[in-house]
Amino acid sequence: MWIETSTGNRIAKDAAISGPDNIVISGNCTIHPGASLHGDVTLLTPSTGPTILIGKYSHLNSNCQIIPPVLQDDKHGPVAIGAYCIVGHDTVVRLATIGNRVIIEDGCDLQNLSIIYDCCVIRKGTVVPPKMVIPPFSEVLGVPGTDFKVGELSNAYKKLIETEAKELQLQT
Amino acid sequence: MSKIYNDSYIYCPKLATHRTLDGFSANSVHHLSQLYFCPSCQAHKSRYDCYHNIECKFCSHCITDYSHTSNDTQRCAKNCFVCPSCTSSLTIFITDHQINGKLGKAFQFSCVYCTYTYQSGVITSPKSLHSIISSEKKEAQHQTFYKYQQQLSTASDAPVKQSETRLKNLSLSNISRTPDSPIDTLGPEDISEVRNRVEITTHPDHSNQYPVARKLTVKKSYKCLNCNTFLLLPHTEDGLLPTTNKLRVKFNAVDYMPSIKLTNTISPTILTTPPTETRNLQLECRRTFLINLMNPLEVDMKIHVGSLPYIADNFITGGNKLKFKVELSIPIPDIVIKSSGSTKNLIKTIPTACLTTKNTISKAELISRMGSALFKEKPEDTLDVSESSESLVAQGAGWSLIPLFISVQMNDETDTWDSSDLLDIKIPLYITVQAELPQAIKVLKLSKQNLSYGYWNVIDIGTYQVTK
Repeated sequence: MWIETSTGNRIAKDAAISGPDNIVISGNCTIHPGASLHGDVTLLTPSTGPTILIGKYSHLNSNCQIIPPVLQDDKHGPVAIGAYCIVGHDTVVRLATIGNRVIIEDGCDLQNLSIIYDCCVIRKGTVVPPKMVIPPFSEVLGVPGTDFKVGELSNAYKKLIETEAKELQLQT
Repeated sequence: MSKIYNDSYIYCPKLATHRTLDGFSANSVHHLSQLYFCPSCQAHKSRYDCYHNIECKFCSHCITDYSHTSNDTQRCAKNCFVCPSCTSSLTIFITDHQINGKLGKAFQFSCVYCTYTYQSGVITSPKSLHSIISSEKKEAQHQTFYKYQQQLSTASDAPVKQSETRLKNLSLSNISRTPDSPIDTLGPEDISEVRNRVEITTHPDHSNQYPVARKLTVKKSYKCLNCNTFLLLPHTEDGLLPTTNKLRVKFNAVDYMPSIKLTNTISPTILTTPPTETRNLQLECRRTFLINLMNPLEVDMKIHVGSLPYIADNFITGGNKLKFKVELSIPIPDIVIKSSGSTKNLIKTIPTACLTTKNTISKAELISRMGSALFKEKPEDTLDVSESSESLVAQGAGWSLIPLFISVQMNDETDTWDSSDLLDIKIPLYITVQAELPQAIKVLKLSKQNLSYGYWNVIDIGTYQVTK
């Protein structure tokens, strides 16, 4: 069921990874069944760097989608997910950058070209609108136009999210 | 053991010196992760026990530092605008125009998420976007007030004052229904047209909404209200990027107070069959839970877990809570939790009750810890059933498990048991901690020689059905 690499990555055989040559997964990451990584898109400015970069100890739960952001028509830009990030079930990630130590809970929709800085928690079912910048140590919840809110997150979460990501790697 | 997603709360009476539990209220309890620890008072502090000072403010969108501006500056002064309806970003387009032979420009703002758009007037001389919008806002306000003024000043429109008797004698007359109202003459083929009309009318009217400048993000320092000690102080030197997360002073409660979680007992068959959680409490029968305690310090921690003999009524919610009395008992209230400082292997620092069989590393660790219990000739129902106090406690690197017995009794013998009796239980525990001073507090050279504090911890165990 799992493919385990020498760097400690665990990738489910059922995970849909397209364009693996354009994807870099750092050590100790877990990619669950049903997760899909779209690395086969055309970049607007072809570069030597990867289309999808995932930092160490990151955790992509089942049925989440990582889609590089659209810059122009069918041309995309690269997406970078930092270290110790947890992406929840059924979450769609279309944004440009996710910082280190970020928890994105289940059923979120992170829309085109948004940026999430370090140490943030995106609560269940949140919709992050396009081109939104979420500052460091923020808790985000709700849907824009109805109950969207960006609140302050305690500094203690820096350590807690890191431990959570490490424990998830050992326990799931 | 997740410290983010757990149901353990710490009681924080606002500005209280004696921490006594006077009832459960969602406003008075906080997660451990949300609290600070004052090294001088040796007590936890919620955000309401501190006062804060804004050390740095910046626009998260354009990363402009506004720290040295006046206190009134709360919004970005550059071209960072958000939608007034949904607070999403606005994109700005420029269009060229000609007025009285002069070349001018107009700005169109459109929301990237909703349908909001705003078109500014044509300007012929350079102006900042902020001043364009504020002048248009003022102009619109002036126009509105001018309209009101005109209406008020028109004497002919003023209502005629009528006598009370005349008003009483008024009766409804000459009411006739117009037969050809548009709704009556509508045919089935026009339904789609009506639907379109409805969509148009429900479309939000943005005519009097103006683009809003983006709010600034702040970095705050927190100080204890009692002793004025810094509990959190960010680095804010010039030249440092405002999004940097470095801290000069940090006293988070998670670094000084034990994490507590309540779990079910570990079944010896956990390796072969996945655990099934039973959400019931049998009447007049003892059920065992495990209190998972984790030591965050680099020194050993001496903990006393105290509880009342039974749970007070205000900690139980449910239809027939007055019928039942929930008794608590902790056979081993005193325990020393060793430090996990020297342990490099993270799996060793996870309590046994929180290990799973989903991962090979976790499963291997679980097998090694449970080995002795598995190969017993007659496996017992639970791991903790033994008379000797030593075997009632499981310990590891920085963690410890102690049992908690819960039993439900009928308050009155005349009451009858009902299968629909559900109880939502919260368990208050008084935790007393004693330890040597950690290095981070020693360097402050405070008068106190040891770490010694106590607090109420409320654990929400959820809803349980009472069975017979």
